[in-house]
Amino acid sequence: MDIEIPYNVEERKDTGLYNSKLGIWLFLASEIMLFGALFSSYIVLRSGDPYWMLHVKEAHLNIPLATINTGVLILSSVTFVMSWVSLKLKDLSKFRFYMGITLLCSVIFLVIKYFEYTAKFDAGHYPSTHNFYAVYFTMTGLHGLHIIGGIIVNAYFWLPVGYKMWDTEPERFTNRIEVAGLYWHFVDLVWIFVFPSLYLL
Amino acid sequence: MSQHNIESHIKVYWNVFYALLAFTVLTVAVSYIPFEEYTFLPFSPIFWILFVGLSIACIKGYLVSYYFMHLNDESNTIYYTLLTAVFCLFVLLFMPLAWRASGESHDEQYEQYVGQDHYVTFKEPEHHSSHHHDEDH
Repeated sequence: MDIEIPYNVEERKDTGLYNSKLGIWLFLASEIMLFGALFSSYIVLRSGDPYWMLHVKEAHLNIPLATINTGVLILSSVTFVMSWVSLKLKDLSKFRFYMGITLLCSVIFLVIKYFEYTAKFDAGHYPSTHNFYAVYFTMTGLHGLHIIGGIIVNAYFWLPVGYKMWDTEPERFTNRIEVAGLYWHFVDLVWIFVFPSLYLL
Repeated sequence: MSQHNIESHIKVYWNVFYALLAFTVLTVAVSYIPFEEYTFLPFSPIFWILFVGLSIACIKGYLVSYYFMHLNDESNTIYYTLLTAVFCLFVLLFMPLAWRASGESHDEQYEQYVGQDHYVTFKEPEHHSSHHHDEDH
């Protein structure tokens, strides 16, 4: 028996939205609180430790690598928007092109992160070394997990198993990409705040 | 969206991308400004470092959410949802700051603690343990 799920495409009158868009925004609101709690702990730990900055200097954080990573993530965000726009222009091959670049960028981000982490471990710096490393690994680690989650979903849409919906329900597929994009931009947004607060300030 | 409309949107998206890249370079550049040497500035150097750095981050955040996440043209349901979350976020972030400003700040307690002898033993655990060792015998 086929049951049609309502409000995949058309907007609900009371919310003015299709359902999954409201869903993703509620999820992102909870994500704001999740990362907010970590930022709050960071403020408490940092302001309570007069020697905090000594440990940050000792950590030798790789600012050039982190800057490249920021650029990579920003590029992945704009290509994601472009992949959604391509669907609005009814061009599936362009969608796959831009989504492919997004996926490539996200993998590059993780590879660079891997080099950063191994450099820390080689220097004998672990989350247990000092509160700074605890904060650093928790925040960048949780952000990295979000990147991995995004890669899984975006790869699904990039592969034939995901985009076959384009042939039957193109509008619903376009909405799926918009919702996945909102998540991806949020992950970019979190990095925009994590990068300066851990590496630069 | 009409065809023409979409084309103008594409231009905006790429311009936002270039702006975000420029702000990324800027935020790294300003982190090298030696604020501690600028004694003519009011407030402490750390205030200026945080103020400048976080202001740029906020501008970048605004660009991403406004253009990429389409908050420039969204339903009220989403604005109210976000407003609630952001309000709670500010409560969460300002709780530690309010605690510090309340007089019973743990910074002051920490400074008193730092000024005392047992902080030295805390910094040098070997000395601390050998001291206890002597006591045991």
